[in-house]
Amino acid sequence: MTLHCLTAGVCDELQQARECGRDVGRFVCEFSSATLPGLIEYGCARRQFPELPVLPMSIVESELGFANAEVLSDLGLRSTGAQKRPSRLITAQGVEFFVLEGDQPTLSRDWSEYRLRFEQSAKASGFPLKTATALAAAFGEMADNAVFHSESTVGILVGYQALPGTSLFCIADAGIGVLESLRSNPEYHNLNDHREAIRLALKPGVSRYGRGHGGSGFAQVFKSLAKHWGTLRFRSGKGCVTMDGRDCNADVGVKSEAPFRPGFQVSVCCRTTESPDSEQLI
Amino acid sequence: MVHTIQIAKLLGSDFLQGRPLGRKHFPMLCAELTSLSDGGIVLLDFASVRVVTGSWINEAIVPLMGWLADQRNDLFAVFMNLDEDCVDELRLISEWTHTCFLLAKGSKLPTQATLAGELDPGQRDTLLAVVANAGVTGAELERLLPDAGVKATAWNNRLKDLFQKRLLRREKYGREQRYWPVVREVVLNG
Repeated sequence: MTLHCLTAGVCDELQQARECGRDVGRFVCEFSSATLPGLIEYGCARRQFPELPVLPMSIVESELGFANAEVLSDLGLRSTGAQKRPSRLITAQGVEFFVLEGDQPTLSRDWSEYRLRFEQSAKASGFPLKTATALAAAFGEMADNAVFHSESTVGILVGYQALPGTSLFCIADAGIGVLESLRSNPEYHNLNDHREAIRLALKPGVSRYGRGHGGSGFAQVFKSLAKHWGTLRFRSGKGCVTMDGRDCNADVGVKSEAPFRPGFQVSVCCRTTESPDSEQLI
Repeated sequence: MVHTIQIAKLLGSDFLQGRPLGRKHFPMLCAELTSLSDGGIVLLDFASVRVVTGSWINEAIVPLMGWLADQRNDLFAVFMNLDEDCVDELRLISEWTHTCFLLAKGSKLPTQATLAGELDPGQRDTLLAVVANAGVTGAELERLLPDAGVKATAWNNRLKDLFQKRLLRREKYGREQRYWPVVREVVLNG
């Protein structure tokens, strides 16, 4: 990865610079590549600040860019034009996006097949089938979470990428965010910190519907990453929590403040072996 | 009467993940069980199911346990052939929802099952007492276990709780309620 790679962290910096009134156009046009979370989070930021520049052709015409433009999404590279027919293949793909919208989208055949392709892709990346299946379950849980809690008026953008020894996935919505979602439960009504809201939401059994009524999704993610080299990033409102997959404990995750962005963006990177530049994949 | 349901076949899926799917599957499970006679035992066979997540259990299995306990249905479930990861999920949900499950391996009604879920010390003692004295009443337990210092009324209350949790079967003999374990032997989890 070079300094000109658009990562999720760089995306936060760009948003911060934009909020300070700086011109980020020149910086953006020098990007030569993007990570999956970087591309998706830039799309989320750009929805909030449409004046943010379009990404350079080096990204738009990359494998990641082409795959992103295959779907119609307000958070992606293409929000108008013809809707492509979904793939009916159940074979491993390098990178693929999906938009969750409408009534109960995770019950659709298209979504089932997409999730199956993700599982096949994780397996092709070098993960044992059992791990790939657990990752697919975690992926599904995160998607359901977004559908249930985001109250987003635009489709939820989901993407995965399979690299040798690495499986990445992202789920991004532009909805009410974790803080507002939790605050809808009287038990969390006094909560007012985005980082604390994310930390709480990651705890088993915590949900807007009250303890014991949901809140098992993140446990599924953590379990699937426990024996692997994983990195997780949870971004909502003005908060960001990053975690090392080997110690998936919401209390030890690194919490940081970030410029406000609506919704909730989850990025998960899981590897078969330890890699020094793994965090840069997010 | 023992009835076996192949879960993957009935639900047409081996990937039981998510709340919406759980909500879709709950009535399918109920529909399959409606024709069974009262007091029957259902073996829910999870062989060839690859994934069972907590969210699915919360929407399909937890309400199913309530439905089974409804006096109009009065059925008992044993969860068969769940793999280790699925059992972890079931234990997690049982902790949150205070629901208990009987787990076993095989294709027939087992003689032994493991309990997933927490019981209070009184309920544990009562379950063990019924396992050791199948077909017992509360009054008989008071006589059989005088050292426990528990009156018949208290035994009856505990028996009723375990019946409601679907861990004991019950039959009426005249004015007495007699209780049996669902399987001959129950292994408590710690």
